[in-house]
Amino acid sequence: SLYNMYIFNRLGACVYYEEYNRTTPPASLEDEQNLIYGMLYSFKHFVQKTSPKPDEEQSGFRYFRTSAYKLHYFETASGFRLVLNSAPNVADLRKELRFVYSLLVDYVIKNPEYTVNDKIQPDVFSVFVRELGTYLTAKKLLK
Amino acid sequence: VYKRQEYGNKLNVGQTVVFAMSKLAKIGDQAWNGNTEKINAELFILTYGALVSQALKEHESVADVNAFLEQTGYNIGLRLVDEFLARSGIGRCGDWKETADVIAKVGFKMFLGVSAQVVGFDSEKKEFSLVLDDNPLTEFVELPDDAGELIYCNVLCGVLRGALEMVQMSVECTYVRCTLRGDDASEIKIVLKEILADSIPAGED
Repeated sequence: SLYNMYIFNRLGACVYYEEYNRTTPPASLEDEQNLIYGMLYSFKHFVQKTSPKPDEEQSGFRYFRTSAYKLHYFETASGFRLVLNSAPNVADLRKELRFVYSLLVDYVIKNPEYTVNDKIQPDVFSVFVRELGTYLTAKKLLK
Repeated sequence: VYKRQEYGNKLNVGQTVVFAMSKLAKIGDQAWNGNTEKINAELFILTYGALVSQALKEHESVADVNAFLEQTGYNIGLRLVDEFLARSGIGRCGDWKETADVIAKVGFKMFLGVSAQVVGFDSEKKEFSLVLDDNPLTEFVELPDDAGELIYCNVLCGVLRGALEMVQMSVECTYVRCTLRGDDASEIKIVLKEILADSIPAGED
């Protein structure tokens, strides 16, 4: 019930993208990634500005749902943005995204072969990809 | 849940500060005791000492070594901040004071096992100092007579600079006092230079 996942760095570039189950691929993946990042950036500011409780840490954009999919969002203070698209009936994946972030820290950021803000090549960081897959399968999000 | 209050009623500020400090200290302790992998302290201290002595051999001047240590720290800080955020679960800090407390109580505790104290907090000049009563890096260390202006723990200044830059704060860190030079405690002074704006994605106007 997962469709795809994006991980953006603090500069707005998509450093990781994985597809699980997607029927219509986009014309240009890069355009789509920029579009999503731009939308998230604007949306986050919009949500903050219109919120009745702007100071609370917990309030903020977590997910949006359409009839076709649900987009889950997790952002860190260091600027990493994790986006996961799933089937509309999936519950809030905030905890799962937090765990994916800790996987990112353990297997990518701590890896000396990784320069901060670079793209995450799946062949170089195969352990990360594998651990990610194992975790998502364990959480019954992937078959 | 507690409300942060501006510097109005002194009693309230004291109470909220104490509450905030003990909550942060708890987070720091949990992070240190809980799921952190630890390495042998002596191994870490001696490895760092070896790094510094090698740097002294390789660089011509002590100022170069200080810059090298700071730059090394900066590179560490860029990555360390993500581990810190992932482990502690702390989100954005509301203000400069909270930043200071989080670094002292949670950050230092999580990575060095000792909390620092925040002294000399000045919200106008945007600066504060972190005081460490015992700095684990300097255990077993004695500076030789020809060390000159060597700042042995300059790596810590670099780490703070790198980590804070990743959370949109540009700071200047200097090592003010050091137990290796006969002072009673180690002190790092941090001055906020500017808050970096969120980078706007390319193509957006």
